[in-house]
Amino acid sequence: MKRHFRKTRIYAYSLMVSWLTVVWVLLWGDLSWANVIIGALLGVLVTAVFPLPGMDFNGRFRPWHFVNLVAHLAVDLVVTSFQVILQAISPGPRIESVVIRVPLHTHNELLMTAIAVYITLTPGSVIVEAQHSTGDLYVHMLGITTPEEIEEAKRRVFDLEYRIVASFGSKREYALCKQYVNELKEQRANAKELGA
Amino acid sequence: MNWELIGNIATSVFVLGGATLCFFGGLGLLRFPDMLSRLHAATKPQILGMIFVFIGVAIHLHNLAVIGMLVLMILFQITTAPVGAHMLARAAYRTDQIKGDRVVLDELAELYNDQD
Repeated sequence: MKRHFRKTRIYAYSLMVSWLTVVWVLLWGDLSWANVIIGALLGVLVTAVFPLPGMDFNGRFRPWHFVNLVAHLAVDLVVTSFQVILQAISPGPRIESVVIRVPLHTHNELLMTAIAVYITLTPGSVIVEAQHSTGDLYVHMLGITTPEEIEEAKRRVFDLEYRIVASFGSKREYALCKQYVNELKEQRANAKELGA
Repeated sequence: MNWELIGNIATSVFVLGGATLCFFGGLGLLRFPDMLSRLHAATKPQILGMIFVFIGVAIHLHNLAVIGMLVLMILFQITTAPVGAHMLARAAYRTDQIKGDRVVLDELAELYNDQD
């Protein structure tokens, strides 16, 4: 167990130094040996002088889900921008909003952070507060007032949680979110049948 | 029509489009009623506007080194702007800047009441 932990630490460390080297080379805009070596040395120096606290992260990377996530993010960013613009130029009574609690399925700090950042980039929502111990996010929703709209907004956050967890989450978290999203889909299908 | 002309037109469209998005972000900042709503305007159109300006610059310079740096800047903008917005939102909430009549439901108040 301990050995495994050490191994992941070394893996995370080398990943960090490689990333810092890539950033250095990109900033200089010139792929040369001198840049790579100095970048790697600086990476080692920076991680030694400003060490990050260790994080328990047992997720795995699923490339296909990640591509899906990036595509959704790009679309969301465009939709959200035009929605805010419309709200900004629309005349009439001033816009109303709510602050709602969304209990997430994952309690992993890194995933919660990613979900919070993603929420702020999607239409109509900005994160206000995060409660790590309970896995709750508190989200400010613009232009949403009725209970039905609030339910729908919460569902959207869960869809988005699913996309993040599917890309980076552990096996257990992934299964949990998948089950929940499937349940939601069934509920929606049933509601539609009742309506029709 | 040669490629240079097409490149110039595309650059103009993207840079102008990006600037327009940033302008409307600023307009939203002025027109929205409270702090939290203003944060919506401050983060979203602004990020997309910046990405558009960068795309315009990338088309104009079509230089791999510049594109690498632009990708890096977009990445950091996307990850840091929401964090900054969150810190402002949190501070605004805790100093009662949002308790206007425009917030119809507030489930966060329960959490803070429990803590008191």
